[in-house]
Amino acid sequence: MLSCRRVIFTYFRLLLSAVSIFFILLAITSCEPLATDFEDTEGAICYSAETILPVPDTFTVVRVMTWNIRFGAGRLPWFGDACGNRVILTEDEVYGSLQSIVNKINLVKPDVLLLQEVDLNSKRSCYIDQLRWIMDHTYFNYAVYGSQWKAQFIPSDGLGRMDEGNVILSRWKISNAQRIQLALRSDQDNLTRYFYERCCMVTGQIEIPRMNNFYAVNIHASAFATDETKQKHIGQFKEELDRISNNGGLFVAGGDLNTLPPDSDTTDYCLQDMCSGESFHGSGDDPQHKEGSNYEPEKHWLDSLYARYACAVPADVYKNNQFRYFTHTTRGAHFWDRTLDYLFTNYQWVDHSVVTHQDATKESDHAPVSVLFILPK
Amino acid sequence: MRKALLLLIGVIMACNLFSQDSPAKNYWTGGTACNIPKHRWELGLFTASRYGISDRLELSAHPVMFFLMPQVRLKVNWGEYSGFRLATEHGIFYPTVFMRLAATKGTGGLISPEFTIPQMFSIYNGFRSSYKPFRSAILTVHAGIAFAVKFGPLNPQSTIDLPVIYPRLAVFYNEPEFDAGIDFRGKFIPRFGWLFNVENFIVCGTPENYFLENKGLLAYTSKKETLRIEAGYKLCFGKYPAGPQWHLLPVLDVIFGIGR
Repeated sequence: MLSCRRVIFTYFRLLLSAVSIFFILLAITSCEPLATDFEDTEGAICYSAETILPVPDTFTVVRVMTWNIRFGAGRLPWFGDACGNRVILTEDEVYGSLQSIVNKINLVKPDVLLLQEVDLNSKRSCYIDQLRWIMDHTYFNYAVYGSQWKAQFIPSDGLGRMDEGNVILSRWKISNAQRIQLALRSDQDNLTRYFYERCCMVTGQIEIPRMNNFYAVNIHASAFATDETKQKHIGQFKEELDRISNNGGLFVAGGDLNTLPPDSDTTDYCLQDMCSGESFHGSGDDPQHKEGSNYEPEKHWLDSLYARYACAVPADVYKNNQFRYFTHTTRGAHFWDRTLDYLFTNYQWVDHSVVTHQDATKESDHAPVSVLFILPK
Repeated sequence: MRKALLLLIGVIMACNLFSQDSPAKNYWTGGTACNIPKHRWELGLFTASRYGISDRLELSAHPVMFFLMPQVRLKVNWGEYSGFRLATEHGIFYPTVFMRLAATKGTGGLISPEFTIPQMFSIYNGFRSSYKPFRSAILTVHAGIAFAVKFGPLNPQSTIDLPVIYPRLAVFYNEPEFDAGIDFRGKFIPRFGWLFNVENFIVCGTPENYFLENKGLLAYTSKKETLRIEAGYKLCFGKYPAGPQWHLLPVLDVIFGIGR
């Protein structure tokens, strides 16, 4: 006859076995991947301010701005893009940069803001939710976020956890927000590509009163692809703008396209971007060009965008005074030396309203660009 | 389907009811207060290997990681009192070599190369008490404290924010770390065993101070007790620098037993 103690023990063992089997099956079937893959199109992550500020309905123009804020790294010599040795920033450095960034935003007062390289929960930027911090320190009521680089842990250079993406901020509600996957690079080995960024566009409908067809599109195209990936990104960007346009929508679109405007005087920045110990353009140098610094093959990649849509800085205006519209440099102590950031619309900008904020030299390695969009009557 | 389920439950129940084997020889008892027999080796691929120096002393170290991240523990058996077997554990852990190797550029860089890793080690002292509530099971409670000695500053951002690793290195970034938990193991039938344990880590001097690990294993042991294969899961909760997180990890280990 079984003792009471043994019966209890038997049932206890059964329970433990069941729990173990359950978790074993769960462990086998539900392991979260180290790096996140995305659908071709999926919903963007929506944010709203703690306190929604009223927006007057007297707007006749909307100020739009684009800015690659470099995850709050300011002009520090980060290892990935500035010949530096820094990987993990300190809290003081990140908050200092973010404070400068929101100071500029609060000064320019854009109504719709396109940001690139915003970190949410990344080790390199002390796990600060930069989007929430920016919303808490500005007047924007709504934002949408699409990750372009998301991994639980990147086992390279001490990067660790990463979540970086593109953001649209707006005074008005943003609906139908989507994250659109751009083509993946094909010039990397499988391991690198698994943990590498997956460039994307973020789109959303800005619900300005009496307008039911106004959209914002934010893109960050590949910076370092040496194959046709960047060209594909620009093509996908134009396809999305064409789709909105063909459906009767109006848009403001832009971001960091990582390529130069047509008719740029200088198209090869290999020597300017060269780090110590590197050599390019010499006989026997392999590769001949630095990754992401030779724009010569890309000279006509933006032609079709310029031909169909209105760039905030029209091609002829840029051509006559290129220096004034430069928005980027890779060198920490150097002034802007090339234009990579753009704003386009299929409607109308206010003439001569574009400003390349070249005075913002400390906040990021990109200068913000703002322009006034005319709201249709 | 229903019949198959009932059959499975019946088989499991029968296995439990007729299991009479006991871990009397103290084989495969790492994690309990029982020492393995004198001169017996138990060599694990992924877990610490153990060697019985004498009937009172047991040495454990990880064979693969020993040269990168040496961790040696000595378990001293203090005998049995009223059915409770008592043991103390004393260990030393030297992670500097591993962390310096991990602080590298490019692939494999778990720590940013901008950080300098000083010479450092930690010392662990704890106790284990085991009780056999049934012939084929051992219930163990344990607790311990670790503290670190460092010969230079360690940047608080040089942590490896991964489950399992983070709580074991946390003592080097903070103040003493306490651990406590329970371990319950036994056998269904002579060659099939199970293990269920819960381990808590509390780190002093930081808001990211609590970690929990729960492991569940099913194990197969060869007839001659020379091979044990364990498979299961490890459920980890922790308050990491990125915030509280849960992880569920698969666990697999192969342990070879050599000696009586």
